[in-house]
Amino acid sequence: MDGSVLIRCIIEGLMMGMLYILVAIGLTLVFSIMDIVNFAHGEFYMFGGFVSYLIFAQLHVNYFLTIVIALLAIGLFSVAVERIVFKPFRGQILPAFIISLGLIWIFRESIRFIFGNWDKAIPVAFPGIIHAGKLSLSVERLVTAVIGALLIFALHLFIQRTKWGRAMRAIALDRDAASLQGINIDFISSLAFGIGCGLAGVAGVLLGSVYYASASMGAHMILKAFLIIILGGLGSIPGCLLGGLLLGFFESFGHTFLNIPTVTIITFAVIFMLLVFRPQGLLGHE
Amino acid sequence: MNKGALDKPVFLIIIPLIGFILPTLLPVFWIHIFALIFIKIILSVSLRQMLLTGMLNLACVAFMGIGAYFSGVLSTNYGLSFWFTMPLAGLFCAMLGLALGFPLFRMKGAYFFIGTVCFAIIVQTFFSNFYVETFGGVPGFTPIAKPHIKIPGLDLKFISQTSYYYLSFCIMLISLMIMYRLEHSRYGQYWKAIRDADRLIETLGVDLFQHKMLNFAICAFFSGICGSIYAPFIGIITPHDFSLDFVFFVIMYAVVGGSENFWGPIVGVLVLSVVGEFLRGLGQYELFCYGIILVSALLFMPQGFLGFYERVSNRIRFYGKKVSP
Repeated sequence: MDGSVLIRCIIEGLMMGMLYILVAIGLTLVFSIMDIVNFAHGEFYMFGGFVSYLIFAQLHVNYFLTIVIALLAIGLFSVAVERIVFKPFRGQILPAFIISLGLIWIFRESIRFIFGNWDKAIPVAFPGIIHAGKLSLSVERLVTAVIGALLIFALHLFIQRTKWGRAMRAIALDRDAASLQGINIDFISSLAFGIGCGLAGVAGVLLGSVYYASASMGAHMILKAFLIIILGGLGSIPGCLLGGLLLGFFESFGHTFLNIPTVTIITFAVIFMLLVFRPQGLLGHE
Repeated sequence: MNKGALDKPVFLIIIPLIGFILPTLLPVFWIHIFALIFIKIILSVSLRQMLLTGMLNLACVAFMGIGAYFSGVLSTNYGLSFWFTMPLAGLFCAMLGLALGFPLFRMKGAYFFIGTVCFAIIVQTFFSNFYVETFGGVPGFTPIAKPHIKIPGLDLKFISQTSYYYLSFCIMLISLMIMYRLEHSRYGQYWKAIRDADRLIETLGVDLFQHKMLNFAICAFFSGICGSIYAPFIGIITPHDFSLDFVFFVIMYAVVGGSENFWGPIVGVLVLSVVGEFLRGLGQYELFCYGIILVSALLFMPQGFLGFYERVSNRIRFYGKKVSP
């Protein structure tokens, strides 16, 4: 084992970690504000992949414009979904979870209906490889990691610095008190749902150009996202960051030095054991 | 407890009677479907029993898989009788459930069902990739020894669809009887109380942990039994048979039928499986229809078919009278 393998693992882990965080942070936002565990969150990520296929690969629109379009389109679509489907179940974890199972089937099959059964190839957005001594790195993975990090930083600023972000934190702390202070809970819930799903869509665009877009890509991602948020603690954004990076690095190193089934078993078993000793996750609180 | 029409003892005699004469009237295809329906009924009723405590157990199909592999491997590779491996598979799953309960019941609410999802994934990955010589890996484990009864004067081998129909029907009746009695016993009351007011009954001296464990172990037991019937019936078991999608189906049956009522999941399985056979013509868009059914059921009749039926019948009964139901 030499240094170049190590650095490649780190870059890969960083990229996957950032994408996992982008998906998981929306789940965590929605959970902390609406008390909903949205299992259909991964499908919004899958929509991102297909928006990228449609707009970037077919219509040849600029890559960064595609990201913005995906954020807006998927965000607005998810707000509509939230208004129609999730609004009556706000605060009820169990029915909301079950209804999201139904949404998974609807979304996945309608994408299959529109785009057909085959996985869609998306051209490489940033071709090229950086050579430095023995080391060779894909430019695309670096750019993906950087865009992911920038978006996460932007979300952090939004939540910490703006009025709406403060309203979100207030609702997460105490819904009734926030509503007494005149915070429009309906609006903020929709906003949080839209932002969360929009970010998942952006993750789909980013990863779509690294791999490919397929109707079942959400199923793999949603489990990873759940692992991250229970690793870090449900409803905790720093926990989500920590969990995403841990999982990204663990997987990239694990896939290099072990085989994939072993890594899956170890990952899930470690999370399981963690929950035994720390049921609220690494950085969560009761 | 609302005594609906289905609780009358007449039905308890008529329904088994219909069940016993049904195979003489149906074509073989529907006998096969009904045998599967009975297995799904056991599963969804045991899932609903977990829902009584307010916990959604997504690992029940994983337990079914463990039961299927356990009894399949024991009866095929080691030549043990099916009648011995079936209860053994159930007990093994129950023990595993007890062991798993220690970590799982430390989690609450959303953590709990994510924890059970973790377990389901571990089980599926395990059977796909580990001990491939024993479990057959992704292609599946086949052939599986068929159960047979061999006593002097009678030699019955379970090969035809009809024999499995009767096997699963009898086991379903026994399981339903046990679960019905359990729900209407002291334990059932505790389970409902855990969902509604866990802090309160804890102050009354009820050990929450013990009752949750008992419930989980019973659910795992019946799931294991389901798996051990399923394995020789289908003849091949693959890890994919016990994937998360199947759990979603079981949840759908319980919720669309009505999870408040004991008979809800049974109605749900019957209606949705029969409807599902007609949806099969849609090919891959079948799942889309199931999604629409699940979402609209939760939006428009959150209490399920039976809750809806009860509400409508109450409204008809009290129509025109100035009495609030």
